Amino acid sequence: MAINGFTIGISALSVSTKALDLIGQNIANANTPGYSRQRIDLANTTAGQEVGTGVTINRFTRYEAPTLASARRNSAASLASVSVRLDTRRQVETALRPTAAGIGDQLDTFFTKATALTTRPNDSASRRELLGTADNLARQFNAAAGDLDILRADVGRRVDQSVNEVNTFAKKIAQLNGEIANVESRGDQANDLKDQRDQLIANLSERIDVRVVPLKFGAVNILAGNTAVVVGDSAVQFSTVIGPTGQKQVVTAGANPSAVNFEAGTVTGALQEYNTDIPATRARLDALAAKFIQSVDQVQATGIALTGPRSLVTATRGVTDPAALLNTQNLPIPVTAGQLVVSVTDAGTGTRTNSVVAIDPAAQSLNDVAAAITAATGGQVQATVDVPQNTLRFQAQPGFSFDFAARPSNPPQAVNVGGTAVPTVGGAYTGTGNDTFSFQITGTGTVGTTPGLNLEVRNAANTLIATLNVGEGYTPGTPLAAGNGVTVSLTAGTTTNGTFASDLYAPPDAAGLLGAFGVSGLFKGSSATDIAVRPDVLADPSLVALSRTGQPGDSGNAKLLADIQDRAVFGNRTLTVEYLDIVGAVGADVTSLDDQVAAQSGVQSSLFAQEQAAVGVDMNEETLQLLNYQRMVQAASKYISVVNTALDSVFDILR
Amino acid sequence: MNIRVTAQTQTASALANFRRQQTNIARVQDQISTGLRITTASDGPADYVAINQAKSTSRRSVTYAQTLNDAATDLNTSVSALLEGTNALVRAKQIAQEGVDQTLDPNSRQALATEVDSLIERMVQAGNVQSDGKYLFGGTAVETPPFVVTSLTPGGQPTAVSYTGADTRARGLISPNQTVDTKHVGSQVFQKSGADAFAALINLRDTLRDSSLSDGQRSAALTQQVGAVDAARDGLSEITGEQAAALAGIEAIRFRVSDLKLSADTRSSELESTDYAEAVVKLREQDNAFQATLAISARLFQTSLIDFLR
Repeated sequence: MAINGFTIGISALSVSTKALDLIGQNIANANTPGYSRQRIDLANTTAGQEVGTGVTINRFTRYEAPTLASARRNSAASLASVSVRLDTRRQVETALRPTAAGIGDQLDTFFTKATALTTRPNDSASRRELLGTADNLARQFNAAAGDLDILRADVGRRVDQSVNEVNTFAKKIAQLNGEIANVESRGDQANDLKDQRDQLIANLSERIDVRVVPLKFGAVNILAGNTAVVVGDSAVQFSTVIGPTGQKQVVTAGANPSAVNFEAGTVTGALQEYNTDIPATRARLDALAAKFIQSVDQVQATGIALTGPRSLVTATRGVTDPAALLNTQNLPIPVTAGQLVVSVTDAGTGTRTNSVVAIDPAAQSLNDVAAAITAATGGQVQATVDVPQNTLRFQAQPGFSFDFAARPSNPPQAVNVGGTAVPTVGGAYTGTGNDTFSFQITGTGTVGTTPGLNLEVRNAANTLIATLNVGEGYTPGTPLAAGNGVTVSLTAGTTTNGTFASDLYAPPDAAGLLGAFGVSGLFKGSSATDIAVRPDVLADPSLVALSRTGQPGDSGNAKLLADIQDRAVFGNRTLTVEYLDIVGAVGADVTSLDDQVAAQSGVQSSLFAQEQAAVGVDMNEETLQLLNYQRMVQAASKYISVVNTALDSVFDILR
Repeated sequence: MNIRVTAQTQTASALANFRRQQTNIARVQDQISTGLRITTASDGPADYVAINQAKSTSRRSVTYAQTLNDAATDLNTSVSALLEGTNALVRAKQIAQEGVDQTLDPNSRQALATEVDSLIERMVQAGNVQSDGKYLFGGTAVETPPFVVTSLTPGGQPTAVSYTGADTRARGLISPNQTVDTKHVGSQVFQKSGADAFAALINLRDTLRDSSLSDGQRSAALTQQVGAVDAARDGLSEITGEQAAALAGIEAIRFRVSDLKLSADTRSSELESTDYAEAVVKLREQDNAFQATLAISARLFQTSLIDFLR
């Protein structure tokens, strides 16, 4: 009798102890990320006879769920790109300082201080408050811009770091591909190597949008975006470059780099923030600062400070090339074609003359503008360009001073009073366009005495706009309202049908030249990064121009300053509303991304649970299997023992 | 529900639930402890913009309240000074009427003239009245006295008063696009065409002192000067009326500004403030859910088949 019992028993013992090892491995890796449970597939062995020869291990099967794994990788890439954007948008929101005493608050406060100054324009403490707010606002702008720049640099480094990780993962995956193919080409299973590789692919899928293409012998190719990342056992390497416009681009590393566009993952999310979203927010902040500077400086430059007209003014904003046409200079605050009125006051005689300079950025360079101003004022104001900043400088000849308020000239033009009375035209013209008022005294006699002596005021269209009594009952020298903020007075004396005229200008700087170049402005700089209150003004609050007429109690310019807050300068949005819109847009991004992250996390969790249901290790299941194979070991041992006893009985016959 | 639930699934699910619930609890706690439902734009972008616009309106209202106060102070002082000037002119008219009396002896006339001197002084003081260190009748020239005595009698009494102020009124902004005249042009108040208060008083005094006039001439002159004083008084009264009306207008605007501030504050508070009842209930709810999650998670990992193996 041929006894196979030992062979059968030993095969059972050997298989069951191997199975116990595998169960141990499963239990040990129950919490290992990326581990897929394995099962032992058994087969009975036979020698071609009626009874087989025992049991053998057919193969160790690794559980796989390729469709779920692919879905989870896609979901991970989407989640990673929205997560990185959410993180960044949150930081952008903080950087914009939407808090108390932040940019929005300070913008508002600046205008309320300007409003308060309308009732106390010459109050030094109130002026200091305005400047203090302006200074604080400028610093808030600087800090926000600085934070956004730092944030962008950090995001840029995150792109580089993610690309480096992609390179590392790709190399390891390629290497594992080689090892797996090596093992499986021999007919073995490289289950644990596959687990390691698939975990690396999962890690990779958080960085880029991977697509996995299976090859024979267990290897895979990995594609992402418009490129291959791993081909068999070789990996493509990537790097980043900064383009001419400051845009970051992922390229293939090597001698002939080609642009690579990934479609999801941290690299894509961070690149979108770096290349598009942060610069867009930054640009809006810069535009807000530039518009604020322009609006305030334009009003400031065309007013008159407590110190009166100036004899020297230096500008704060220059051009790159003073000889090039202004419209080629890419000015942060643009100049348009229009007039600039320069008023020159002769300190000796008190006369004030207005000179009109035509400005055309399409035909003039900064040098041309300077020359035109000097020529228009007959050299009484020398406009030059300072190097190397290429900024304008206005210097009055000794005995002269100048301003840009375009007050009516003094004395008026074409004076022909026909007597000893002297006319004066004053006030601040409030019309919306240039005009010329003609004054005609009807009658002959003595100002303030002769009955029926009237002064008729006509505008450029020869429409009679006022008839004023300057005869009996008029106190000579008393200013009379001629219309549109202009006043007229006659001193005591005689007249014979006298005439005179006054050219009136509005706006004084239609070209926006003063605001564009920071002439006599409140601020220097032209963006959120470099906005600052001019140090000379900060040190001397009397330089803040709140008057239109030059009188200390006149707050005409303070009102214009306060009016800026209601002016729609960004479409239909005011400065404050534009700021709120910038912050609101970022807030809306955060809310939307937050929702996307929540939704994508839900998808990710669900896919993870589904994948785990297929490939994860269930302890109870393993324990059951453990019991099963424990019994098998016990039974096989017992079986061997029984076979042994049976054989003993046979051998006892011989004794 | 998946048929197979592994330890990793349970851990991941429990962790996700812990995080979500802790975030929710932290959010409600933050709302309760700060009293604010919305602190950043991402808490509610649309509400955030509305809140800040309401706050901006409120802040502006505070400034307008301040400019209204400034304007009211100026106008009150100004009206007092004008009343003082009007009183002086009323007294001047009485003096002129007394002076017409031809039985009056020269000494009495001299005494009346001396009183007119003091009235001139009062009138100059009224014209040069100040509020908060600023002259109120110099228009926008607030830093220099608007009325200057330009010539004197040998006895040191004024014979001419000139206006040296500005020719435009000073204005304050009291609501968007609405200004109020706070400092009038003195020459248009005290020295209006045909109604020069200083000249009327100076002429009255000079007539009373002029001994070269016959009684008849003096009476005629004084009668004429009564008219001049009346005209000057009318001039002052006109501006007094204008300023009093402006004051009444300021009061009305003050109410409006105060209402505006209240409604802006209410709006921002409604949008921004935490609804405590709701927040506390939510906190309780979240807390219960969290405790339940903790309890069930602890149970999940408590037992397994291993516990039943011997």
